[in-house]
Amino acid sequence: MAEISFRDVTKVYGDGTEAVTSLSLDIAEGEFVVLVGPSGCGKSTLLRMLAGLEAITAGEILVDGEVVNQVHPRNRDVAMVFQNYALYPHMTVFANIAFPLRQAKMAGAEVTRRVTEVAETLELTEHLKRRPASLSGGQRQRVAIGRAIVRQPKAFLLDEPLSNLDAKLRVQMRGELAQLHAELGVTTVFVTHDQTEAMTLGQRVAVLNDGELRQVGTPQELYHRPADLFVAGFIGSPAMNLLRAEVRSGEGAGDVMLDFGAAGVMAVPETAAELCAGVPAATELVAGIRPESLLLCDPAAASSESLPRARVRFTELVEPETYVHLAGDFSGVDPGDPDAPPRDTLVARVRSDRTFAAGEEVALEIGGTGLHLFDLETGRTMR
Amino acid sequence: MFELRATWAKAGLSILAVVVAVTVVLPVAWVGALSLKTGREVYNQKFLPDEWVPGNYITAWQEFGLGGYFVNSVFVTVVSVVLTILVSLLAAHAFTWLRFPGSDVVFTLLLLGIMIPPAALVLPLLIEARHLGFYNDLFGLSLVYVAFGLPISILIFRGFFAGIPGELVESARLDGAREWKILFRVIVPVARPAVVTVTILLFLANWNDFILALVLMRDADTYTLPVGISQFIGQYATPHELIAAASIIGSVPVFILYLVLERKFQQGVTAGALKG
Repeated sequence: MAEISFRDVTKVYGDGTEAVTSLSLDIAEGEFVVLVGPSGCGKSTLLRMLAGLEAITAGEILVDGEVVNQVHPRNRDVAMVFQNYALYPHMTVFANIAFPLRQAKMAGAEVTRRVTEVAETLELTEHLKRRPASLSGGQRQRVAIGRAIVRQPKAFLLDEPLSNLDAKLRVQMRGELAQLHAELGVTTVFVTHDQTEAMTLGQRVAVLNDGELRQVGTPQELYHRPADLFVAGFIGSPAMNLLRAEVRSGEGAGDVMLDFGAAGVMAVPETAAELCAGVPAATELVAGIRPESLLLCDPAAASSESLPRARVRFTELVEPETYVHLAGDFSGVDPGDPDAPPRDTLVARVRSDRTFAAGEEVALEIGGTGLHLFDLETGRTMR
Repeated sequence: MFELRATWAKAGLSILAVVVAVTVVLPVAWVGALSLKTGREVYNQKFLPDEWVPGNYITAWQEFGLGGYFVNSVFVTVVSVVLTILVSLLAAHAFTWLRFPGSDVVFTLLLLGIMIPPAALVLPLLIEARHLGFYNDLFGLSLVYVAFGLPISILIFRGFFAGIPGELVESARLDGAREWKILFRVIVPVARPAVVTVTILLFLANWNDFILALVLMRDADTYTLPVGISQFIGQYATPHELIAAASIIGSVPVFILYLVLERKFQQGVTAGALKG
């Protein structure tokens, strides 16, 4: 087990592309950290730099307090599982798993003992004499994991290891990986672009975009307290609705309203009122509303006539819920590209026993604690 | 309509394949037939001999001392092929997986070697061989073959290596393997089709080489088969039937090599390495 630290790590490729920009991150001993972000955000590059497969342009990577920038991959004592398994096709499952042990010149009996043990853990015992070509995707993935764990390294690095599996197997392997980590307790860095994997596996999740670390925290922190528009838009499915709004004072003392322009005006619920404390009236900002906090009401029975209105575009049934896609006179913000043209669509998540027809008009309210406010200029959260 | 066109195309291609096969096989069959004729029958227009003389093979072997030439050829070819493959595997590994500053320039320079025909370099080679002390030396001749074989071998290996997923190499590195072990334990087994192809190509070229062996070898006891067989040609009389028999004997190792390696030529050995 190892402690891993990235200190102002930068990676610039030969063609000038900056894949990682001055990134700092500390990973505790035995921790399971997930690096998540869209394609090209630098997460795999970061993992490869940690493995020693990519040179570091600037900064330092420390494993157990020792700078490993110049240490050869074979001497870093880290094991990596690749997205495409990278099994040695001409070797049997046994030979594949035993390969790292044989490189370490381990005695034959010990090799056999360890491989057998790992094979039992991963339910590969009956496949030890087979070659990778005759295995299923899940079995191949297990062999790759077996090859990584057999040498008991300081850290496991997993580069999108589940992305080639079908949905059902992915869920199964996710569970197995979590269980394996709980049993072995080895520091694990897991790269994925799938936020479900990130949120379910990671003790902490680091969100990257354009080579920068946008936020690192527990899955709950990322979901409930996103640091900026990008994290807010990236974490959560369906994504958070991000709408331009203006802060207004309400009729009652201390009441705060969000003015969505032509769409209407919405009262900030008491549970979220502290968010607006100290925000001067007429401040333009981005309001982030989680789909489950967007309440859909019958316009006729709405508490206020000025409530924002929207029309149902279509619905998606995802039992036991329905995602209701809406269109209205909103000015939506693209979290990945704040300069993109405004979007007028939003999504609400409701119980599946409620039905909505396309074209139906609904009034919108905010419920619970699912409201977030972001600075329009910087995109940072306003707390 | 489409099916009909496909059938005609298939028939046309089949006929073309037969024509090509006959064109290639006919001269070989002709030499085979010639090797079984008597000296008088050689100029006979008939394809098959009237009188079959399999003894020509024994005569050629014994009277012209083919055994010695054969041993020389085997030595020169085996040494040169093994050395060329070893060196070019190492070079291709470096060019593919251990990129270094200027590697592309070095690679391009190396490829220039393919464009220069060995015959064009005969004179400088002869002078060089004399100065370096490998004139009239079988190992020296092998080294010359290595030099001429390297560019094409490296080109083929590098092309094949480029198609091998980099993760296999990276994975082996992380598993603690050193570069030579990565090459010979991971890459070469996967690249077996390329190794077989290069072996056949080099074996053919070096086994059949005439011009370099003729120029660089002086004594009869250092002659390789092609040069040795050429000594059968006399000023006043040439035993064509014996030359044909010697030529057939000389081509047997190439046939055997091809048959042996062809069976081991397994394409798609990488199947299963990655997600299919």
